[in-house]
Amino acid sequence: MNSFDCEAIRDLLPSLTRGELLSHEATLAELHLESCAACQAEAEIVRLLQTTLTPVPAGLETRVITAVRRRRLLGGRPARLALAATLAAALIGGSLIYDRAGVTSDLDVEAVSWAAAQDPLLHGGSQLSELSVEELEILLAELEQ
Amino acid sequence: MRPETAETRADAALVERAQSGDANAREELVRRYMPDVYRTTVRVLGDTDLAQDATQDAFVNAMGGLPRFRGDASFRTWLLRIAVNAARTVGRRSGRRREVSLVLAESEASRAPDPARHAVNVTEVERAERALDQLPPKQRLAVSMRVQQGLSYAEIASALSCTEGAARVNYHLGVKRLREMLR
Repeated sequence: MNSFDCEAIRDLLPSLTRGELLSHEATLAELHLESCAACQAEAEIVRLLQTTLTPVPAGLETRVITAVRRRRLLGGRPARLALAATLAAALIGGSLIYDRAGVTSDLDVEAVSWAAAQDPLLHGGSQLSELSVEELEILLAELEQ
Repeated sequence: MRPETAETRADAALVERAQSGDANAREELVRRYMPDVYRTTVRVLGDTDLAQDATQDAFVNAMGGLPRFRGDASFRTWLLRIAVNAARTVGRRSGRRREVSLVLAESEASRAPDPARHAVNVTEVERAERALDQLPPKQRLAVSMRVQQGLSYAEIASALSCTEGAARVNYHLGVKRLREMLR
């Protein structure tokens, strides 16, 4: 098997170990693993990581559903609550102004500076499994510029 | 992009019902994606208590933002991006950085009375989990999302707000480092 096969197999490992490959794909992947120690080592790591699924704490689901319901009952409008609080404070305290901490959007998205369509990695132009950690870091830095 | 499956079609139907005000649909979405969201926030924060706070914030934000969800990405990746951002916000607000927690954990481990005995007690799975926790944040999330949550590179890119190429390199770099750490 050549390096291209290693690259392809390593991309498939998570799906292979989750049993999500078609049977002929799985057979080809298993055949490759039998003859490639490096891919075997990577498959072992993938299998290990798949057994370390962090359990969800008891009670978290109820807590979250309660919070979602509460938000719904309040109309999901913290700004409206802030206004009400400010008005109440003004009535009681005269000219006191309460400054409510701003709520920042969690939906901000960082700018993407690299067009995926122009990325040679997506077209199989580079063999990532052949690169050293240092080379991968340089490549990543270029991608994230 | 992941091909349309019965699962994604069921998601789309649930999201549509939730967007039209169906409380049961909203709660079903919370139940369905609780493990994904919680595991993502744990990976970002390295602290299970803070991760629970971030999980709650993520779902409250997501359910509040549902009217703005247009379906450009899958609901799952849209939600995971909100989870990553919620975890980062909780981390900043708490003033506790993940790196600090890890340093403390390592110093506690170094105080173990008998290192050899301690090493014997650490299973392979625990070693892998610890090694994963020591990766830089984007590599840790890329490996966790790909291996443990089964996301494609495109979905990881969407959740981490980066390019698909960067998601792929982060994954391979993370796995390469894990191989070195677990050798």
